[in-house]
Amino acid sequence: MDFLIESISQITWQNVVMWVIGGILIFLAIKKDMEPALLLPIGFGAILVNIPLSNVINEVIVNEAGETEVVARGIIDWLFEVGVEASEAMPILLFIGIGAMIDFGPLLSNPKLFLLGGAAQFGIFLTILLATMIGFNINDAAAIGIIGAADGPTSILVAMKLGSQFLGPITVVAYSYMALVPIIQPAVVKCITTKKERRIRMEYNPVSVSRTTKVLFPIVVTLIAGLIAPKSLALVGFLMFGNLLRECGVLRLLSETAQNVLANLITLLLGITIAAQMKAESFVTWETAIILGLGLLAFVFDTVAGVMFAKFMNIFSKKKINPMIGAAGISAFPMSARVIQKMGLKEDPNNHLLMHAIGANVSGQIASAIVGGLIIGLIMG
Amino acid sequence: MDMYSIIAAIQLDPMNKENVLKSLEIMWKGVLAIFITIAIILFVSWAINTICNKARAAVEKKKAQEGDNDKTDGKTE
Repeated sequence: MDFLIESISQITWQNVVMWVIGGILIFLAIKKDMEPALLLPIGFGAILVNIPLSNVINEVIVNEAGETEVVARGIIDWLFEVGVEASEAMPILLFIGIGAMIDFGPLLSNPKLFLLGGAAQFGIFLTILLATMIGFNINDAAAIGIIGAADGPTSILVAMKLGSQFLGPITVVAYSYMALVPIIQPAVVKCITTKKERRIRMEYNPVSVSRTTKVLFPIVVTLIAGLIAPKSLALVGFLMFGNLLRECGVLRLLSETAQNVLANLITLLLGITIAAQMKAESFVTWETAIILGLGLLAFVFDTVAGVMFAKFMNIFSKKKINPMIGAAGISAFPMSARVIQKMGLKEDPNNHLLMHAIGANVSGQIASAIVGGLIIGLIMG
Repeated sequence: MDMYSIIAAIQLDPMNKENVLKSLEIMWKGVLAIFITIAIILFVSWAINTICNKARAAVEKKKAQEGDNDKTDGKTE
């Protein structure tokens, strides 16, 4: 009867911890509606890959020469090798969908909001510094810092390109904190702004944006980002390609497919594929706990940097900017913008900040992808 | 588990001078590069929008003038 308990006898306490983590992620997805499209597949995948003798992961043996050898391939490991490890295809393809979802109109009608997207990336660099001081090597530190990009695909791509050994924890932490933006950002923003600042009204008088501008914008951004930070092209280029599908006006079906079918399909597969990196032996470590802390700091630093830069712009600007808009400069699109809109309405029921916040938010989406490429370029040369 | 065994279990190398200096280098270069990139995108997109809007206004003005001329011609006839 040994065959019945063969798997049970190999359960370790680390496996049980991973089941609990998987359960928590599923709970957050279903009960708290936190990024369910990602946390649910990741959570279920975490359980799936941590059942001893599971055939969804590669079966590895150590041969007589002492080398590890794959004797049977598992579907989740295969998906990871093909879809993420070999070419980073999944996170990059997801960017086509994201690009097709974004309307850059609010940003183009008030271009100075671009600066807030750039400023809100400062937390990434501060976190990299902190991570190296704690003792992570520069590649791992950079991959941890990019959690502050508040952008899952960028985090995955940078961690993969830099060969970080913490891809699993980084991805889970990035998506978890993105889901926690409605909790993290209001607390941080309230700490660093006064009630008077939060009540600053911003009229929305958009400058008309022509269709030609909207069509030219993705092409121009691709050229500029590509020439200054060529390593960001995979992300920025595909983001802008998706946006061009949307704005060109002649590919409505392709645009809708990218926004819905493509984005959903990749999200579904990406979530469960990432679970390949959540095997107990590499996930249940002290480093994961430290990455959890650093990821939170990255989000906090980014939010602070965005808000402070908005305050700095107010010194020179006649039309005052509500500093809360700066917080939307982190990527987390469109959740961060919605959070700022809610906060604005809470302070003053007639202060509608949504369109301004969306402008800063989409700027953050571009800026985070560029910063991802810049970091890869600066480290890999 | 005491603090020493926790630190021993963590494979980290705190305050490694080389890594810290590299991260500072990434910080200044990265911040500079992102602001330069954003500033160029800001300027170019503003310029494109301004030119496009002016061109559109000019076309609309011309159409309006042609419309006025047509009305005047109609009255003359």
